[in-house]
Amino acid sequence: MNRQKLADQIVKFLPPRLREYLLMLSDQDLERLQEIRLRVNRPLNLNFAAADLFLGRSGLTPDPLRGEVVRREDLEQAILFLSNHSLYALDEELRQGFITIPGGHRVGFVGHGVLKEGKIKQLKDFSGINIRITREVKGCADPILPFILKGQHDIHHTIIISPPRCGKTTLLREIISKLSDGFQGFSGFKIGVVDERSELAGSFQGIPRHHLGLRTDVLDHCPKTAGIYLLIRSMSPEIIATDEIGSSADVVAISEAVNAGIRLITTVHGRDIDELSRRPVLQDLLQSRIFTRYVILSDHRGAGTIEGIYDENLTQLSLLKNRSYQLSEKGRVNYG
Amino acid sequence: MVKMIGSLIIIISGLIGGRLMGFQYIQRARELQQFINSLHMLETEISYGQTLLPLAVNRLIQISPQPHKRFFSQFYENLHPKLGLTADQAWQKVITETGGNFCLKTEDWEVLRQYGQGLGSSDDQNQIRQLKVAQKRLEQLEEKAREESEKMSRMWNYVGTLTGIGLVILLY
Repeated sequence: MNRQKLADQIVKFLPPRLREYLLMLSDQDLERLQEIRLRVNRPLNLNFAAADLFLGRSGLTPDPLRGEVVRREDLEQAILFLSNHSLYALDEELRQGFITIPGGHRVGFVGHGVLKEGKIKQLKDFSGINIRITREVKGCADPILPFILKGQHDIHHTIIISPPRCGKTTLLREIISKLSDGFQGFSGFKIGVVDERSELAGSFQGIPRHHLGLRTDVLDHCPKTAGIYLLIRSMSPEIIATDEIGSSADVVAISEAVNAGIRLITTVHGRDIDELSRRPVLQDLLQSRIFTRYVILSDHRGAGTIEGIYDENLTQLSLLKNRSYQLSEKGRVNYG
Repeated sequence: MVKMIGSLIIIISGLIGGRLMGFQYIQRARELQQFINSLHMLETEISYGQTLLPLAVNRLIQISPQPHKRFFSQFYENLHPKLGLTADQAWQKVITETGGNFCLKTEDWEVLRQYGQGLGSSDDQNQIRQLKVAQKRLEQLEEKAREESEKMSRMWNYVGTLTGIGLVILLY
């Protein structure tokens, strides 16, 4: 993320008092910035790829005492700016605890929950905000695509397995946009995306902020199960893509889609296939052998490290067997 | 003959002067009515469309006559994220900046200023409640202003005409 982007997309949502601190960061720091955290009466906290630091008058520091303390007014202002002066339009988002801002960045917040019939009706008296910076790594899916494609105009059912913050969503987004746009000798697919958490398309007030391809239809903010059925019925997709499956309802919807002749690309939280097979809900899914490609990500060479690509028999397909590599921009691969 | 024309001119200018003095009372009532209409529209935007405040204000700019148009466009500019003002601060600022263009009295501004305090910073039910309260208070003020304007404009009409006639008598 460069300085201009930071100023245009993120800093403008912060209270004026804290803006200057962030604009003080060096280009190098900005490149590695992952999260900005504001907590009431605690120092301004920034999360980098490899470090967790505080930001104050003297710049970045590991010493919490030298970080600028965030006041309650700061947080209130930030929430107002994030809602575009219209807290009343954010009912649903306040219930869910996050909103997506232009640029596809995710802002989560916590505060005092107002309950109704045991469910969170609204949040008030905000006490913490977390701004998660989203990156588009253009071309990072290029080395993976040959493994996913099957023949001239077909793909494998693919699942990306990864712990949080290892580039799972970024990779999925790139795969979707490549398959949808098409490339040389290959026309694109009609893709339906169920974007339950507005993360893939980064929709803000209904408009997708990330490029997801020319032939992609995005169903924003819809539960996966209902969304998959809706897409099958209404948009005749060739591929359905969705993020983070996990519930048994998801699994049922997936089987339904597969039986309707639709290809699937999805992701799931996990470290490896072993770990997945210990989760009761996913066990059946693995045994049914619906997925014919498993892509396993980690962050051990940085976010987007490919640990391996496997087929349905769990044989490794990767070009470099037993060696991990990191995906980066324009299809480059870092072997570490 | 010249005398006749001269006195006629004096009487007419007295009449016009009286009208002008009375006009600001009529104008105040009109401006209040326009603010009530604006708040009413804001209420519709918030309750049915959940329109974002800047978008709703943009619509107000398009349909409002001057000086309200100027007021709302200034407010819209004040909401720009670069300035880092909350909706409340932006609202108070615009009242201070463009208040001079109106014929409104301090008590009218007081109601509007108070309305601005919760602007945009609560759920829709609260927003609508605040809008209703502000509308009601403005309506009361408007009614008072209208009564006053009828009385005062009639009075200033008399004062103007009578001053003109008085002057003519004196000069004769």
